[in-house]
Amino acid sequence: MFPITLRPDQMAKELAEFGEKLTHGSRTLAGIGDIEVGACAKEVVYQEDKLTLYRYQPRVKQPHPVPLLIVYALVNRPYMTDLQEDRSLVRGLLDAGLDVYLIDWGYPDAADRFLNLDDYINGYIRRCVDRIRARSAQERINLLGICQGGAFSLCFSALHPERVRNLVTMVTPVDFHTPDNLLSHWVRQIDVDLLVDTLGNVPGELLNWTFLTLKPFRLTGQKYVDLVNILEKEEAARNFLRMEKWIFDSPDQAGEAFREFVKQFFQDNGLVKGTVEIGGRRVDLKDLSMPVFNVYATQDHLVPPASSLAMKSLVGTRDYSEFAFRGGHIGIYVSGRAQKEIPAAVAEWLNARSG
Amino acid sequence: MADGNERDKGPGRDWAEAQRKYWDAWLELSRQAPEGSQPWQQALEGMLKFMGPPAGAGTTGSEVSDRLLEQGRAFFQFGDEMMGLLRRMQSAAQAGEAWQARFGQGLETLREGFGKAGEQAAGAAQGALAFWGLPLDTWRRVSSAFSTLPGDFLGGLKNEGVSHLHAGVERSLSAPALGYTREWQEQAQHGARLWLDYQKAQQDYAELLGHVNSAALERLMARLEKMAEAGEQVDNLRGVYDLWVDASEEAYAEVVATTGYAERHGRMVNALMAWKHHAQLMSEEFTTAANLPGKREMDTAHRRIQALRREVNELRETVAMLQARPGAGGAPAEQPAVKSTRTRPAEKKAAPRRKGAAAAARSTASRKTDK
Repeated sequence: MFPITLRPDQMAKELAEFGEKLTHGSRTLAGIGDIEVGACAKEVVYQEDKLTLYRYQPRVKQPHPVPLLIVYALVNRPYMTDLQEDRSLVRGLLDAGLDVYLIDWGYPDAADRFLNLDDYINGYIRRCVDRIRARSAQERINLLGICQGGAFSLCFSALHPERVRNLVTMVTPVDFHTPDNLLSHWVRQIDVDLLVDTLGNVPGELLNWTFLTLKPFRLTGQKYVDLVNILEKEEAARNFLRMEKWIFDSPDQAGEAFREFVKQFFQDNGLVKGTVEIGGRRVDLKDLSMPVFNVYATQDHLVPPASSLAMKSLVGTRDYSEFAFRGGHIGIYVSGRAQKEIPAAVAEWLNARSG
Repeated sequence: MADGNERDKGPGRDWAEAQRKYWDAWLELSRQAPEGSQPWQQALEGMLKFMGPPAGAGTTGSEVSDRLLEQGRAFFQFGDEMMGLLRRMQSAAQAGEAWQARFGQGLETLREGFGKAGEQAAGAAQGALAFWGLPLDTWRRVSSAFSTLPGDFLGGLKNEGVSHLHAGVERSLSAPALGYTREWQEQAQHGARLWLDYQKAQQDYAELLGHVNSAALERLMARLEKMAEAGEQVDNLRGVYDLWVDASEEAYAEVVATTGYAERHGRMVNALMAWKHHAQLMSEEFTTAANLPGKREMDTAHRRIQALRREVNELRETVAMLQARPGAGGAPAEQPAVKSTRTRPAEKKAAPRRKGAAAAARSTASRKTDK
């Protein structure tokens, strides 16, 4: 028998209900006002160009003496780590007693077009690290690199091991040529020299399009049909809009840095081959002598687990640990389970090594 | 595969008869609507007018609201079309036909209808396109921002149309340039070729994506047959929609993982960049003639400024290091890095460094940049 047993009166009822929810939802959205992001108090401790280095206000009396610097990706905004009160990796880390700093890269414009990976890694990150080392009177600090920021942290730690006490990476790509890496599969066919020479900075909107086309039916269609059920409650709507704000808040990418990252990491798979060169120095992951904690998401469609797990055989340290989070690339920051699991795991691992 | 003739006898016939009555009643209601109208969409428009966003509402949710309404309309359209399709299914069930072929044809017709509508679609109507899965539509919207000619006015042209156009224009573009503006003519010809290359690449990409729809249809049919065999039923429109989305994502994932897709995707992006790059070079002629700085000059200036800034940073750090040496005197010009020494514990060095940090923070604050 035909497995669709829809009756016209049922469909009519369903469509009427959908329409009603849609109109109510539309009104909710219209009256919701500005969407605020960020939950934890923080102060500016350093600024340079578009970059701002924040220190979050500790939430325990005696925070851990070794500070933790979060290095986020360039392609999205770092407030995903502190989205709202009940979805905040930063808050979890602060509650676990850590002294947390974060680099906000800002929004590059045409004047930043010639910033390259040397500027970002040996320039910005190093100066931020040195600033924190001086403030905290610690020779070495802890780094937590997220996604592309994780790749940057790997490079920084390999080039400046004397400054890094422990390295934590989250959803960080290492092997860019795993068979399930769709992004890399597509990007390898792009003439990135022509792209950057033409566009200068690479528009965030172009990157958004690329991310949306990973799952276009869900991300551009079904998600908004699902939304009618969310919009009945204003708080749920606000939560949705915070996520939406973050997803489409993609800064343009400084042209030279983008060119180098795509060519050396995506196209040449340089971290695996040991061919990445930054500021004239070769990056060898065997130089990672400090303890490394690799946190990855088992259902990550942007950074497949295999891409992260390749780190194990490449790093020089004997103290390498992994943590598998059952979820996706975004869920690892914002899901309810992530709030419980991730900060606790990171803090426990660091506490065991920073005493 | 389920055999409709076998299955739709006995109780099945009674069920079909009951369904037919329902659908006939619905058809009667639909006839009361004006010719060619979509009663559910009309109802939605009416509701939106009555309850819609107040004028001057904040813009925070407006983009999301647009997407929501876009997809809402697409869902309504899906509902309308599905009603028509299911009504036709009843007559097939009554005639004892196997449902698979009839349903498959119906879905194909539905998809083609969306495709045709898409050729003239604009604004909110594009939502229906997105429902049928056109990442290409998003690409057109995005890429128009990088184009010297916004939009995609060959978007509705079939691939063979572009090929014929390409061949025809190529002949005329091959005519030798003459006279005083010969070089300019050649550049313009080259630009036109690059533009046609981009159109062709875009059509090739769209053609490949077109396979997703038919593959999705096959997957959906296979899924429905499995459900029929297992005696499972979908009894709401949203369930049917979700089945279609699942089938589409699976089919899409299979296509985009191929080398062929990556190559066409790459060709499309590269072709657009080649055309735009050429257009930039030609525009430089105008800016130069008008004595205005063009992209080349700006790039040169920015490159040199960036190189200078690197040098300044290095010099600053060198000076700070020299000043931090014992007996050098003077406040450090820049926060010195903590020297890695194994002879003294870090805590003992904390106090002077903190003082330095404050000084450095002041000097940093005094040269706040372009935030």
